[in-house]
Amino acid sequence: MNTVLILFYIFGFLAVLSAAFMVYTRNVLYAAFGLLATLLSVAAIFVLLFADFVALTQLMVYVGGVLVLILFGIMLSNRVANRAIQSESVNFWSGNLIAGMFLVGLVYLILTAGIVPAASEPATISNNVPAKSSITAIGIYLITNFALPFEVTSFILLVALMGAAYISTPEKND
Amino acid sequence: MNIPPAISITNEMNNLVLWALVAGLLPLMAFILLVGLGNKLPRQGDWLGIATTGISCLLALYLFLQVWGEPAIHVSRGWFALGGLGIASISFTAGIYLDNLAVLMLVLVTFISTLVQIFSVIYLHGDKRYHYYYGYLGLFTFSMLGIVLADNLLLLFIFWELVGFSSYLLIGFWYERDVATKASKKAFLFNRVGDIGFLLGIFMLYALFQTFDLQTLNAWFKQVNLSNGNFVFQLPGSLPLNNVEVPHWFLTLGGLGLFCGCIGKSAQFPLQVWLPDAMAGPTPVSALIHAATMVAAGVYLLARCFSFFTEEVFFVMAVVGTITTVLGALAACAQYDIKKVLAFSTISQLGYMVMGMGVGAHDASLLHLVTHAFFKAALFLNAGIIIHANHQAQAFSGVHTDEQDIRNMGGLRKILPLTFYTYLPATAALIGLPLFSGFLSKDAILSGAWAWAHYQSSQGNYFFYLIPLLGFGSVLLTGFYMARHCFFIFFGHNRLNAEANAFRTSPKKEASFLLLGPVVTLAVLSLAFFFSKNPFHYTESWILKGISREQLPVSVTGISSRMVENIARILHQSAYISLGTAIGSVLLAGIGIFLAWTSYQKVIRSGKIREVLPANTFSQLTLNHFYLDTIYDRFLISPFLFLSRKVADFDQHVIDYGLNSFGKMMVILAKMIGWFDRQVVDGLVNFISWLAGLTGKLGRHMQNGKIQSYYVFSMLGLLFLVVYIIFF
Amino acid sequence: MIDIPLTHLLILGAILFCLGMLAVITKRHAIVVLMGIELVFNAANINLIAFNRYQPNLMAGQIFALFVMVIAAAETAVALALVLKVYQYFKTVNLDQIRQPSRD
Repeated sequence: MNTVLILFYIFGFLAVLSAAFMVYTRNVLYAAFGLLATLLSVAAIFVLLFADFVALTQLMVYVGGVLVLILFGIMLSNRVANRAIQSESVNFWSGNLIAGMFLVGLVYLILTAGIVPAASEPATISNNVPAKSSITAIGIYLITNFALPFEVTSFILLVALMGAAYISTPEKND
Repeated sequence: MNIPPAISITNEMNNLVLWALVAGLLPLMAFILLVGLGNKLPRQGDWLGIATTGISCLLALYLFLQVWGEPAIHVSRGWFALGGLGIASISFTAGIYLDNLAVLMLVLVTFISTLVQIFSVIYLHGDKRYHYYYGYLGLFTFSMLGIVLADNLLLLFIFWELVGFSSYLLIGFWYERDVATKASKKAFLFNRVGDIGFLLGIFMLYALFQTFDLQTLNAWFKQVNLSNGNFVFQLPGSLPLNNVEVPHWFLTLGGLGLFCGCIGKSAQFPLQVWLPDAMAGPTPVSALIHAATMVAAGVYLLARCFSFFTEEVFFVMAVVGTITTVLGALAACAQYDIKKVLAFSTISQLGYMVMGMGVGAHDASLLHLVTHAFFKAALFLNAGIIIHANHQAQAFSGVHTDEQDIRNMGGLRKILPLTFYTYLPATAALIGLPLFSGFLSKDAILSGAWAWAHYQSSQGNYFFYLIPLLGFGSVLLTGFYMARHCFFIFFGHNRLNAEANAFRTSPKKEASFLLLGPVVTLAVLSLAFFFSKNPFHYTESWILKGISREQLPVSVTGISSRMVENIARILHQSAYISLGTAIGSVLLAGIGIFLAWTSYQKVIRSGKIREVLPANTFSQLTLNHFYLDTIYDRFLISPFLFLSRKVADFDQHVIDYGLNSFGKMMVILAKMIGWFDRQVVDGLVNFISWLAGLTGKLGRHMQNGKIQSYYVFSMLGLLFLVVYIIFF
Repeated sequence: MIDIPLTHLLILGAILFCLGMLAVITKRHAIVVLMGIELVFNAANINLIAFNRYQPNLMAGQIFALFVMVIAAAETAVALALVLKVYQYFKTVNLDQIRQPSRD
């Protein structure tokens, strides 16, 4: 038992709890904040897994961007001004059942899969790169090994931007 | 053992029997045709009835000429058999027996029936059920001929009942009248009471001898010996096997039973109450049935069964006959209805006949039967003419009184002279004045009665003389009431206050020929010349000789032969008896007429003619027929009706209740089953359909247009796929 | 040797994935469904990072996770734009009520 494991349990527990809260609550805003907590916990877990850059990116993109966007969306699509926004659930029992079965199945697979980590390939980056943060490795690999996905991703971002902008334009009422 | 030995029947005899059959069946055919389609025939078919009866009459005359004086003809065929294979079958025969008496009765019945039907053409003119009337008359004629021609007791009984039924139909012909329906029921029921005894008598004979056939029975009764108070019968003709030994009392009871049939049919005491009420029927019906033929059937039965009666039965017969005679004559003295007087007179004369049979004067009774038929029918038809004339007069003058009440008549001697002239011979015959037929027959009976009394009282008991004395007494009464009847109707002045011509058909013509013809014919036949060459002495009557016991094989000897033979011997030996009775009866008749004249004059002078109730109690008693009706009603009919009501109540409340409850239970059971059917059986079907619906609904949920449920189902599918891959 | 056992991480990822799927299935509000999808993405990221921890060469896992995040953001933007458009038309974000009006 070391601290990392304990922390992992704490943050994992927190993540699950807040995710559950997010799913089971009726109030949409509460759900949004539940999502926030989940994202934060997941970011913490990333840190524990030596993925600091991903954790930061998670915080910035998800929490600061996506979540804010979601909150805006909720606010803008709310008709009744005074009342709290409710979202009742449908398919409650069948959904729970399915999700439960999925979970059981996945857990079973995970436990019986017997994943053996493959022999690690020798690192292409020499050890003269400081290993305090993963960002350098990520940076290097982005340009070199994963350049194509990088470019394509940027292209996707552009397209998404254009698309979202276009969709959001109001109709001309002439 | 049952069937008599076959007699060789010649062709000629066969032919005669066939003619007799035709004569009997013609009226039946008339009945069927008239009742069935009488409506559609022209004139409603009265000509059909008259024609068939007329043809039957001619056939009867032919048969009479052929069979009178010749040996009797008996033809019988097997009729039906009881018992099947394995059991010895009992077979019954039916046949026709023609002898002097049968053909004489044949002629009598058909002749009077024809005359009555001719008379009815005018009398029932315009009646709305005219063709039914002639049909019923045809039925009656057929049944009466059946009685006369039948050769065995079973067949005779069948026709006996049929005659009773036709009488019921005819008495109640005008069934709108309550009086008529009650009278017809009464007639039928009282007849039935007599028939119970009749049946028992027949049963006795059958039980002893296993046959109904009259010839066979008479053959049995020929050879009878008395031993130890029992009669021993020997099988006729063959070895003395199967001797039948019968105690005396048993045979007496059977004889009394047979006599009961006669009591019912011939209106003897105590069953004579139906005959006065039967006058509610049309007058021609009264003439035919209740004077001439049906009521004579009882006496005919006695003649046929003469050899079966023991001496005790004869004594009872004599007593009953005498009582009937006296009662009838007494009751007739106080009656005011023209037909009722004649009805009571018929009862009285029938009593004479039965008394005659009872004292052993078998031939005299039959002679009286024949003469009585003619003159009584004449009197009734005469009364019919008077009633018809009265009716017409009342219609003209507008007065409405009882047209049958003799107190409303009078002086018709001048208004309807021909009627009066036909009335006289018939009345004279009834009273028994010399030169008329009735004198012969009454004289014969009274002589027979006197000889009987002489014979019976030879042991020293003089009470037997009461019977002939009462017979003489009723001669006096007969004279009285008939003379009274005559005076009230024909003498004095008319009390209806209608003019004379109102009674007649036209001022020149008194009444239609169709009305007068039959009456004249019958009145002429009341003269003595037709019955005997010597109008004063009955023994020379050719009819009497023809139907005497010696001639009729059925009436030879018998178990009372000792008494009968002795009486005949006495009669033969003492000629003074018949002379004495002749003079005595004429004297008494004259006294009766004189008494009637004086009482009539008294009533006319006092002017109290319209009094409803007669003055003294004895007259009241006789007017109401000795209250016999009331006695019967109180003591017999009412308790019986009470009992039948109780039984009906029981039937209604217990049996019907039980049945209704059973029915209700069935309904309840049906409802339960219905419930079961609806709930369970239909429920099952409904359940299956609900199940199908449920399945459908479940299936429908899979396609409800919601993407989230589609997502659920696709995940479900994925899971199943994974499970399948992993585990199978 | 390694701190956190792989199976634990994978199980966590599985749980989050199932919860996200549950949100997608059961929720009526369109944006909550989107939140569920985010959760799913995060679960996938956890998986990736966990494997990356056990096989750190090439940093493939983390890079892939970065790409996932980028795509998720883009997708969320477009989706929200769509949701807002839908809201303008249907005046509701209730998934049950967003449907083609049936032709009679």
